[in-house]
Amino acid sequence: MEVNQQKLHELEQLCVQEQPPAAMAVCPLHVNCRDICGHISEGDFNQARAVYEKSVPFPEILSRVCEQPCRDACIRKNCGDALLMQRLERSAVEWGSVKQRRLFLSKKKERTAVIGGGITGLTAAVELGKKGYPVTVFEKEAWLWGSLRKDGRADEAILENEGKKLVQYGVSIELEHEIADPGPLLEQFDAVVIAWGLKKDPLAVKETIFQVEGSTMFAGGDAIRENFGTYASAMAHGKSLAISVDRFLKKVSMDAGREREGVFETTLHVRWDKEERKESSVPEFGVLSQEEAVLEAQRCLDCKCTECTDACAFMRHYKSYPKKYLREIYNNLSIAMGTRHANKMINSCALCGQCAAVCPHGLNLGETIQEARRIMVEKKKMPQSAFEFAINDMNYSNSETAFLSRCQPGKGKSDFAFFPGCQLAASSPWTVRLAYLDLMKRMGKSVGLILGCCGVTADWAGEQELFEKTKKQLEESWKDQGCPVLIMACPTCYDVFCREMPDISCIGIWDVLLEKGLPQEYHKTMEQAVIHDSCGARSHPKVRKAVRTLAKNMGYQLEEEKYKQEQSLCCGFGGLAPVSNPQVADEMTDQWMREDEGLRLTYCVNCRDRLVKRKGTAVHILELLYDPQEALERKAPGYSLRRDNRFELKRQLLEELWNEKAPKEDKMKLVYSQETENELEERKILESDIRQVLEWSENGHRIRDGKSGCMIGHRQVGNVTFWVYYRVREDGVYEVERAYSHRMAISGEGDGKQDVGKIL
Amino acid sequence: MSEKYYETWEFEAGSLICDRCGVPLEPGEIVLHYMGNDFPILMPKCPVCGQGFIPEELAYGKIFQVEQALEDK
Ligand code: SF4
Ligand code: SF4
Ligand code: SF4
Ligand SMILES: [Zn+2]
Repeated sequence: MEVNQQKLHELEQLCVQEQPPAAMAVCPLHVNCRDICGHISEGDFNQARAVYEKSVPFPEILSRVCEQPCRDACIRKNCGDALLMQRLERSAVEWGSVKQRRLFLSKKKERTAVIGGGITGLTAAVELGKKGYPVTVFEKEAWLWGSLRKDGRADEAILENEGKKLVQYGVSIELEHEIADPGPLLEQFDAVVIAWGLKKDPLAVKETIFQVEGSTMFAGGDAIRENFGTYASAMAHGKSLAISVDRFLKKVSMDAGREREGVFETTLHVRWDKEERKESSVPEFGVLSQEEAVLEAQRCLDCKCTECTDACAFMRHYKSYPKKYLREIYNNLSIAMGTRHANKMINSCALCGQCAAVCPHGLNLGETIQEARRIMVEKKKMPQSAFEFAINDMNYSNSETAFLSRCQPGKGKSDFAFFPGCQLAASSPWTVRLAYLDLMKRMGKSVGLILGCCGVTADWAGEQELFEKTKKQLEESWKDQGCPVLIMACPTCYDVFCREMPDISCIGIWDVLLEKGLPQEYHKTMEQAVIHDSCGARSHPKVRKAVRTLAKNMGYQLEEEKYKQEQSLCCGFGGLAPVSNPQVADEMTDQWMREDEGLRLTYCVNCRDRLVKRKGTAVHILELLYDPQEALERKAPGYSLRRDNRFELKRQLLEELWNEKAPKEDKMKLVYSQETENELEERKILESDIRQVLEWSENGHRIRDGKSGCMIGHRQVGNVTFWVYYRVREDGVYEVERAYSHRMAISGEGDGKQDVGKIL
Repeated sequence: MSEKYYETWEFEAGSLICDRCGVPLEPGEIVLHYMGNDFPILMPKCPVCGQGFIPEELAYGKIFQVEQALEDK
């Protein structure tokens, strides 16, 4: 697998984040309205002026006379008056100052001529001068600036002052020198710019490049128009003419990359529908005072696309947006030697697909990130520590110890099989048990059971091979039971089966409950809830609908979240973020909690547990149906308990339904404080790891810590070495004080050499 | 810090005892391995049986940093 440049490029195109604001796009000079407003609203007139001068060669003039063609495009006009850009620009020029830099000009030898000393011609001349070309301007009158002089808003002093720029760039001026026929000039000059203003017959030029076809002549401004153009457009033409002449003389492509030099419509998407209306409140005439300018600038909507960054906490965490992320991901994958700085970012996305649902152009960053993870695994560049813990957990779910596939007791074949998913079994095993008993009772058909993980963990981790292996294991169990219809209880499992194992037909337990009615024992415990859609149901509108109907049948009044249905926020579990980047996962959960108020009704148990872990209130719909007391009260179970629950569920069901007694394990008894429990959870240290350490340590490998009186044991389990401080109580119970771990393996311990424990 | 070792750890003599051999741990060499790299470090170690000790601050400090850096190479 390889990263595909072409595809990357197409994706980058989808993200409009870097597109200009609407008013900037239609401004002939593409003055950055957003930045100017931004600086002025912070009172920084110097910066605002600097932004303006970047696009406008004669700021003193244009800021006085601009007709503001941008006003019709400004997004603010949808919810108030369009920004008064010309007045803001005028105030930037009035109140701000920009240091004049000394310019070192490269001197070029090609000679250029400009016919006409109006705005277009003088702009072309000064721009050519900046590029180092000798320029001569021919003006038929005895003065410069053409119609501006009659206009009067830019007075004599201003025009004179701006005219100094011509001198600065070495432009020579020939006044009272009319050129009616440019013919003779073509001999003396390498390129001739025609900017003689409005004439009866406008000149024909090639669009965007302003070249009179097949000649060394270039024409712009009113010379190519039938009516007067705006001052801004005259100046813009002047700039374009200089670019064309320069490219022509340098013999490089005349049109490459110039598609957006002229006026265009932006593809930037801005949401203004929730904006408060704000009209302009500044005096109609005169130069705005600084305070007035600030007030006006503050009405600017700061047009940017923030759809996905508003929605996704992961994107905000890394302080960027998809277009940049795509580039970073691509670069990260292309590094042959050196540090891959984007690894952590790539491994923190929830792969939830919300971005695609909220983006006006449907860009799915998660999809690219998932692909990147696969490539990293394939190239052996995936950091070992990133997802190992989650993969171990999944392997546990699908190991002899916790995996189970059986037909209904007494039946040799299954019509249906219940697949509750590893997470529901881990979090609420009693719900799984009750649901299974209910299904057997009410389906009227033979209902088998498969306890295990659908493999999404491997998929999320980019472990393609393991994912394939898992699918095989599931398919075999399914075939062994006679190819039953699977009844899913987890929307993510449902999604994985639909996508990846299309031969297997699946329904949701919610569908069954809609058809068969609510379980007999069900009684309503609450009135209202806010429904939260799981990422797993993002592409399954039927699932989202069925769950809502079910909740209504249960007697609940449902409210919707701000991000609802296919736009739902990830609870923070997706993509294994809690394992690879707990901080980002918490930020996702906290945003979800913040966006809306009230008790959340979930149909994925991970959503429930994530919110409860962050001190929110959430219930899982199946728990409400089968075990309403627990549904509200129980804490989010930790990693160790989740394993024990799966183990116990299998053991108990085997004994209760299939009459198979598993030998009771005689496990070392561990106790620890709540504080230690939280720490173990955060450090991802399982009780089973601790037991392995203790076993070894108690077997003649302990160290005594004189200070705390604790024993210290250590042992490598899988790829991780664990250290445990503990005390042995008289009753044989182990009091765990604290534990920590590292991945580096230890050698050189002589006799104290340890064996390598098993993973499970 | 000694030239030979990537890391050393100051500890009070006699504060850590090898329970098996009944002797105090003394500074001694143990070697850490990760992704094909070896890092000899000077840590408390039993002079008799050789079992060693690595403190928490090292595990979650320097060792963790080096692990992460190597994984991102
Ligand atoms: S929603 Fe995000 S990805 Fe889509 S255009 Fe806006 S910034 Fe770009
Ligand atoms: S609201 Fe501000 S950024 Fe948006 S188009 Fe108008 S001036 Fe430009
Ligand atoms: S976490 Fe979800 S919304 Fe955010 S980038 Fe990843 S897939 Fe998109
Ligand atoms: Zn010893």
